[in-house]
Amino acid sequence: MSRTESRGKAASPIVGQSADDSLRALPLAPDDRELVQQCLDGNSVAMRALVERYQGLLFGLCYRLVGHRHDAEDLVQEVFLRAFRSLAGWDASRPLRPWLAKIAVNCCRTALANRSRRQTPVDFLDHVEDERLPHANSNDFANDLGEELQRALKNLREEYRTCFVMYHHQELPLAEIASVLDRPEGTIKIWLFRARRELAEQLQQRGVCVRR
Amino acid sequence: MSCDQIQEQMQQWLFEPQPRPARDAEWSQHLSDCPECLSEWHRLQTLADAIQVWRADLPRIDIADRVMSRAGRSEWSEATVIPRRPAWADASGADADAGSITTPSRTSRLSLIASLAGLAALVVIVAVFDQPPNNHRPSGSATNVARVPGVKPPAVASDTSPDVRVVMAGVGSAYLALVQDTAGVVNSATAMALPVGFRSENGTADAVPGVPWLEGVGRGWEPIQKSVGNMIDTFLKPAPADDPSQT
Repeated sequence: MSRTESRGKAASPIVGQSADDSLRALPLAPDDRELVQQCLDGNSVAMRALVERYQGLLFGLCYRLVGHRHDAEDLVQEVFLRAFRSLAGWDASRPLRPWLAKIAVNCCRTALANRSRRQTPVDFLDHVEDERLPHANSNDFANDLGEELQRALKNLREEYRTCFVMYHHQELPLAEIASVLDRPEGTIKIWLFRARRELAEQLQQRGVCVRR
Repeated sequence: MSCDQIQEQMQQWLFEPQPRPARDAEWSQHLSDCPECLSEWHRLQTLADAIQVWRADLPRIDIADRVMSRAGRSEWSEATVIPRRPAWADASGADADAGSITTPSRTSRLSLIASLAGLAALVVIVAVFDQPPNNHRPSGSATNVARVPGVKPPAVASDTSPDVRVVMAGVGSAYLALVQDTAGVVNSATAMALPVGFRSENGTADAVPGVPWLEGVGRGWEPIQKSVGNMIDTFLKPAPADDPSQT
C-alpha cells in the first residue's frame, strides 16, 4: 500500500486497532521511511520502535532547551503524539530526524513562552540557586562546569540557544539545523559564533575558569 | 590578521569538525601581542571543556510506554494528559533546576479548574442574593442567619444579635471572609473562590493580594451580607465605558 493510499486510514493510527500486530513483526532496523509506513498502517510495534529510536534525541533536545527534566519528558510525549497525528503529512523524500526536531523545537518554544508568562515559585528558587558559583577546588568541579553551562544557556536568545543545543548536543549538521529553523546556513553559523562567544563571556563572569 | 579573523579561527579550531585550521606563527604572534584575543582564547577553551561535560551529562529516559499508553487510549486530542508527579513535587528533587512550565494539556486542565471555580462562585453569589427580603432579618434567630451560605453564625444567646465584624481578605483569586465578634474572636470563616477573569476583565478590583481590603462592622448579620455584597458588586461591576466624547 502506498503512503498516499494509506493516508486516509492512517490519519489517526490507534494502537491496538489492528489485530494482527504480532504477525507483522518488524524486520531488523527498518529505515525511517519503512517505519513510518508501518506506523501509518496502524502497526503499534512500529510506533513503539519509532519512539524508541528517537526518544533519546528528542529528550536531549527538549531537556537542554527547557532545562527541566520532567517538563522535557512531558514535551517529548507531546512531540511524539503530534508527530503521529501528522505523520501522514511527512514528506518521505526528506529525512525524518529534522522533521521531528522541528516539532520538538516548536513544542519547547510554546512551553517556554508559557513559562515566561507564568513565573512560578520554582522559578524564584531556581534564581536563588543560580547565584551559586562553582567551587574550583571541589571534586565536583567538572559537574559544576556542565551545570554552569546549562544555566548560562538560559540567558541566551532563544534562537542562539536552539542552534547551540542542536549543534553541540545533538551534533546535527549545519544544513539540518538550517532546515529545522528555516534559516540559511550562513545565519546558523553566525548565531553559533555569537552563542559561543556569549556563553564564554557568561562563564567568565560567573567565575568559571579552567587554568591551562 | 585582524582580531575578528583570529577569533573566528579560534572557534573553528575548538568547535568545528576536522580539519582544524593551522595555528601558524602569525596566530601565536597575535595572541602574544593582543591580550584581548588571548583572553578570548582562554574563555573559549573553558567553554569547550564545559561543553564536553554538559554533553555527557544527560539523564536516560524511556517514555515509550507512556507514549504508547496515550496512543492506546486514542488520545489524539490536546486535552489529555498522562498523570504524573505534579511540577511542584519535582521542585524538591535534584532535577528542580528550572521553573516549571505548563504544557498545552496542563493549560487546558487549569482552565477547567478556573471555570469550575467561577461556576462555584456564581452559585454562591446567586444563593446569597436570591433570598426573599423578609428572610434578611438583622436581629434574627440563628435559623435566619444560617441562610447565608458558607458563613456560620456566631452563637446567639438572646434575641439581640452580637456586634460582628467581617474582614474580607484577598489572596490571588481566593477570598477569605472572617466573621469576628466584638472581642475579635473568629467565629466563622469561609473561603470564596472567585475566578481571576472577573478581576482582569472588569479591572475594578485591584486589591493587593494578601491585604484585607474590605471590612464591615455593625450589629447583626446585615452588615455581613452587605460587606459580602459590596465585594461581589465590586467584582461584577462592569468597567466604566470609555466616554466617546473624550476621543
